[in-house]
Amino acid sequence: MESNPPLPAPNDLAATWAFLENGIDQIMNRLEEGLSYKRYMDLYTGIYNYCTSSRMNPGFASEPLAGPGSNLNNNRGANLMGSDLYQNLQRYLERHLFTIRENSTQYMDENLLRYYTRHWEKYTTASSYVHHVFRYLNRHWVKREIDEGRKTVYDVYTLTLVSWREHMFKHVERHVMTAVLKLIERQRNGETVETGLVKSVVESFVALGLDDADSSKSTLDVYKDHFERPFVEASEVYYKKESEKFVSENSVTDYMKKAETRLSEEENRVKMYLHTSTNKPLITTCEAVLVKNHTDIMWDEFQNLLNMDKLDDLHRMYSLLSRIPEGLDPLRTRFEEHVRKAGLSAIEKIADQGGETMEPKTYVDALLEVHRKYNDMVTTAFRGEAGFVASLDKACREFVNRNNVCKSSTSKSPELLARFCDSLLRKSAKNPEEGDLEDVLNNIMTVFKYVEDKDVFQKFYSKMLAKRLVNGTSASEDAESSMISKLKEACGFEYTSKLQRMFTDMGLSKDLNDQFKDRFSTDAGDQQVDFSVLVLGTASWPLQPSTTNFIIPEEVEKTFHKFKMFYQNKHSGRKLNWLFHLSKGELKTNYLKASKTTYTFQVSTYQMGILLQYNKDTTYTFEELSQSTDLNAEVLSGQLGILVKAKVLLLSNGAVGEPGSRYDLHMDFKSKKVRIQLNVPVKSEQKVEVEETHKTVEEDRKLLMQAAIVRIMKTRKTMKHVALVNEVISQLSNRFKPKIPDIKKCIDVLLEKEYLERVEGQKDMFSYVA
Amino acid sequence: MSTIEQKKVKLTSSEGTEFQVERSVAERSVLLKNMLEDVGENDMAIPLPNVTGPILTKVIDYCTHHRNDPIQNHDDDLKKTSEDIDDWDAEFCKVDQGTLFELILAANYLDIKPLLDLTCKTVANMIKNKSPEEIRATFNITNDFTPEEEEQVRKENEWCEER
Amino acid sequence: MLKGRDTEDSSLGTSNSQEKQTLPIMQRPIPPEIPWVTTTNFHSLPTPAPSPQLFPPVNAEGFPPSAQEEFSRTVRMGFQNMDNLQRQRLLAELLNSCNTEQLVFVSNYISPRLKRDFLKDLPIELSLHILSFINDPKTLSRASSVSKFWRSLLNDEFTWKNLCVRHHFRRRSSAAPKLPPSPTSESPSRINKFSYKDHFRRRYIVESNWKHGGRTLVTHISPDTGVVTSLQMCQSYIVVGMDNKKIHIFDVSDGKYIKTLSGHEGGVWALQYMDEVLVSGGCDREVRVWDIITAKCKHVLHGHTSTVRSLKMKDKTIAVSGSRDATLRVWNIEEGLLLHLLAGHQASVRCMEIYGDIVVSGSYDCSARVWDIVTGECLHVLQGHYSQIYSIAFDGEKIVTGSLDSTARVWSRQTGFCLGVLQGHTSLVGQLQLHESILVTGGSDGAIRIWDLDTNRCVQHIAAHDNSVTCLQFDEKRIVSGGNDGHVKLWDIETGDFIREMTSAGNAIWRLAFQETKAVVLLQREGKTVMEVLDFDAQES
Repeated sequence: MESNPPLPAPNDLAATWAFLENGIDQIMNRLEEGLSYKRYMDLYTGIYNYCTSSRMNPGFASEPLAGPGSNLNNNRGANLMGSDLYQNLQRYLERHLFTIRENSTQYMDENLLRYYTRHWEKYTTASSYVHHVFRYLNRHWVKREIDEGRKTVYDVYTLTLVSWREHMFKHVERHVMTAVLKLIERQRNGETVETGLVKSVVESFVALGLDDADSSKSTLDVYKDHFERPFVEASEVYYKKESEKFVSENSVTDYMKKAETRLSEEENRVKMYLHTSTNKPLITTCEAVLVKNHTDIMWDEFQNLLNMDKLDDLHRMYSLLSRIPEGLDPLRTRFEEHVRKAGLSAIEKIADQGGETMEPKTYVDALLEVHRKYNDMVTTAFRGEAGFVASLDKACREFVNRNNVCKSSTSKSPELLARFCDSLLRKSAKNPEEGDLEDVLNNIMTVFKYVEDKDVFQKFYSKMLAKRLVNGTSASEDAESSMISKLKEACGFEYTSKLQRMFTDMGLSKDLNDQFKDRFSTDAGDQQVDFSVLVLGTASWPLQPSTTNFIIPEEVEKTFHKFKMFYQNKHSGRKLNWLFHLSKGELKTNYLKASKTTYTFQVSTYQMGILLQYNKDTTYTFEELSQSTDLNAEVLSGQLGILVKAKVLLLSNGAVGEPGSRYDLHMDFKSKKVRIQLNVPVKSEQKVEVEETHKTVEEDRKLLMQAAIVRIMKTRKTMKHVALVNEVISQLSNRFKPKIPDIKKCIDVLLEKEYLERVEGQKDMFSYVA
Repeated sequence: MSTIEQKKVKLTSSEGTEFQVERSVAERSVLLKNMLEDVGENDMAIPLPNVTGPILTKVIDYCTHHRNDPIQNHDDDLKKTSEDIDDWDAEFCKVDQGTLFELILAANYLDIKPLLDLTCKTVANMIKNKSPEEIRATFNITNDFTPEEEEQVRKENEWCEER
Repeated sequence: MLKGRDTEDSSLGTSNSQEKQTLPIMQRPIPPEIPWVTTTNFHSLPTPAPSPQLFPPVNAEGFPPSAQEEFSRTVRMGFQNMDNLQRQRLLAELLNSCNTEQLVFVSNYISPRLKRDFLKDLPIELSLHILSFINDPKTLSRASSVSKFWRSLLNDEFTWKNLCVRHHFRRRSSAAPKLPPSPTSESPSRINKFSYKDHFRRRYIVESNWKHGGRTLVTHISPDTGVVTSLQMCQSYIVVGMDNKKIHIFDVSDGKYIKTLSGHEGGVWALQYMDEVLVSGGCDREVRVWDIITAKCKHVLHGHTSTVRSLKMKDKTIAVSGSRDATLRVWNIEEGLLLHLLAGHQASVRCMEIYGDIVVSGSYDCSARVWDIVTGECLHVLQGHYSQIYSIAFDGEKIVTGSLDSTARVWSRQTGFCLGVLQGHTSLVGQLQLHESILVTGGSDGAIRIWDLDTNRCVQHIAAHDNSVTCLQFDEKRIVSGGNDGHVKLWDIETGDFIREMTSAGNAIWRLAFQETKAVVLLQREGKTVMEVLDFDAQES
């Protein structure tokens, strides 16, 4: 139990110190026995009494006043009491620590750590008590010393730390670090060790970092110099040796697993028991030893992993190499090349199978499959890292636009893509479910993103959309508008404005027909013809005028004229061009006596013109039909071919389309279906159309380029050739990739037309002519 | 303040009189605050051998009044003047010199900086704007200079008179 | 009993001197022979009063034993054996039976005993703490006259250091070695020992000398009537440039004439020196580099095609000159080489300032330019003034230009943007000084304006002179201005208040400059060119 000696006389240093030393000794060595309020207060009071005895300090209060002229001001400062206590405390700490140090020499390794940390903790806890007990000294004597710039006087707690640093740390630090490094090495070797020991050592070293310039501030110097540096060096040596050995005995994939584990172990080590600031130097060093020193073998392994689709290993490699600068660059290049090759070979495979008539779905699916696979790889193995995304995009753009199928021209891909769209959006038994359709359309947009000739896609798409609308074969209005809004999102309002206009015209036409019907439904007595008209703006619709004349059959002529009148009445000044080649009708058979059923023929207007002739007679020659319908020979023979093939007409003389050939109405026509579709496209027509479409693309491009040049020059007034070309390319890149010679040609055209002129005396400089 | 009854801390004055105060009041004293944190709370009384009962009563009055004041920041020491004393504090300091003297010692001993500043300011105000003779009278100080010395001191201090 | 009391009464009442002698013993400083335990006792004295009763009255011994004496002794003995409450009761009874006269006696007798010499009786750290609440030097110095103890307490540095801080008497590194200035000091150990008390005292005296003291150290009256064009006072010399081709050098410490540098073939219009190197330029279109010690001209730098109007040194190696030929030239003045020709201004370069590697120039072409001295590159052209620029100031960050368009403009050195237009003057802004965020301008309208550049607002407007302000300078405490009205005036920079005139009036003030304890004024008085050096330093008596 603690003793309670009486308080010493305030001005008796020896007695006061003896009294205090007894108490400090109790705090330092036997704090676990407890400290009573009384003892605590006595110690504080002892110090207080000693320090406040200053007013009786001789030499200050009773200083004799000097005579005139002599050194009047020789006593400039009051002398506070305290330095004796401070020095005694300092000496006590030195002695105390000397004992601790001496006892430490019998320990090594883990035991030394245990000894060091136990005493450190005990010492610092006790020190904070002592610091408080000495608060009166801190408040006055120490404060004044520090104010006066005394660098070697600290507050008591700092004094205890400085003492530890001088009398303990400096002497045992090497041994402690040796033990720490051994312990960590054992842990790295897989042993379970007491990491709390290292944690305490770290805390101790950090606490000992005192700023010499200002003892109230702390630095990490002690920890950095005496702990971190040797530790990081030891780590480097350890892992250098380990990794070299491991690599020589194991596969690269196994090594990567090892390195990954080691790195995460080290990161945890910092979290567990080191100072957080060590994270950077330690991990940087480990990365250098574990990753940077072995990049070559990893880079070499990459292709193998790609070939075998080893996603886990790829991811591991990615995360390791992403740690070091430029570690991923070779991977990205190789990845891009790999994806491009994969795309090309996938297309090559189907190109061999499909031959000339490539099925759009097969083609698009092939493209998508490659994209999907490697997109997955980027998101999973490469964590969607921007560099790999860019590599993927580059590779895809390459194989989407330049592959075996589109050998001749990059416009093949957009054409096939547009066709694929058409097949999806057109009424068909194979139409996917609505939900699935949305996915497929999204996939189409993925490919669309890579297509360079977006104008070609637009051309084909609008052609086919027009057909779907005119023929009423669109599967779903929702699907159509969904696709258009996707395109709008990808390419902007302008890109889809014509497509949207087409839908508007369809709606307007519907209203128009309704009005027409309302207006004339009361007209009794007329021959009832079910009649409807689409009025479509020439500017928006990619429709060719008919190549042939045509005489409206008299059966429908009246209705035809009625509508003309109605429309002119409504919109005077508008011109209606009738596109009979795109029109259609239905005819019912009354002439088939043998059959009980009445067949309905779904026919083109031209076919209707031909067949209605047979209301008057049952046989006509080619020439007779040509005259009565006014169709040109080519169209007529094409239509007749279909009718003959369907056995509606019978060829009784010559070959179809030959002069003098004769066509009889087949009076015994039979069919399993009640409705017979005769309005099928003529084969030759189709091919011509495709070529024409491609041709119009070229024409449109010239106009687009010229328009762009004029637009640019109008704002810039003068511009260098190179800058102008670049600006044109950048402005048009979301439509197609203009070729530089084409741009030059356009510039020449504009120079000729005097939209532009060369600036005299300046090479390659153009100016705008207003 | 809080609905939970704070534990009382027992204090014993130099004559052995026991006082019970709430911990938040006791902790106005940095000495007591540190000790309660170091040693922990127990039922023992804390002996204050340097403070008498009457003075301790005054100190407790002060600490109770100021129990919720924010902890003073030491950086504003430079701005301190002896004028900024609020009414309660001024009234608190209207005591005879002996009591004031003891209060200064107690505040210093118990480490209650706001009280120490307050009492010291009060003394500073007693010195301000007085002639040496007035100061002597205020504090009952004997002029222990010889006439020659007095003349020397007067000369020494001439520089700040009449400027 | 009554009689006895009377006797005792009269003996005490008449022996004033005796009372005085006994007081120190009766009073609180604890005599050394009293055992330490009384300290505790001392602290436990009941309020309100320290009770002298605890001690046996020493003065009682001198009286012959008598009945009264016997009675008193009995009373005292009895009293001592009472407890506190009993004593209080007895005292109250005795006091109740006293008449007014006796009560007055009691009161007079007791009241000094209830007083405490706080500063002496408290621990020193607390006495100093009390003094730290006093920031009035007069109170402190009076306090040191109270007693020997107070005097030695008041010598403590801590108190004076505190006071220096409160009074913003910063301890300047340049000022420190000058302390203690007294040549009569006998104690060599004190020469290098800095004392805050001395420092405060000196600064305080200097302050008050500025306000209403100081002396004219020397007055030089030139025999000729040359116009003073330029002046620099710092370190050890006062250097004056004249339009009569001469450069005169004086000693800062005593104001005495040292030498004249002759060589220029035209009027000197600009000069600057650092240590012993002086650079000057003028109407002869030459820049001359001088060694002040030997009075030799080290280099004559040719190049400008018109008068050199402004000149600044970056250091002892590099100087920049600005000329009426619209160019600036960067010189290596050690080697005498032209480093860069800075062309761009369209008219005379009137003023210039250097900070680091950047020189800013103001020109009669209404623009100012920012140049890189190292590369010779023009970094910014500052355009906005409607008329000629006459003055410029630059602190490395902000540039201020003063113009004939009666405005000053603030510019960013970094961006070249105009940060503010300072309007208020009604005529040419010819004088500028910039320090931290304070700008002081002097105008041909006779006004001085103080601006806060954090807000670009005018914080003080002083109607200073009846004619143009020809020169001004300020530091953290004051502004000194000179005008064409012949007056030199001192102003408080904080309040803008007029403090006093610094010299007797002349016809016109050419130039002035001041430092901590000295001011130099060049003026024309009665047709003569006059130089006055004023000293505000503390005079050791």
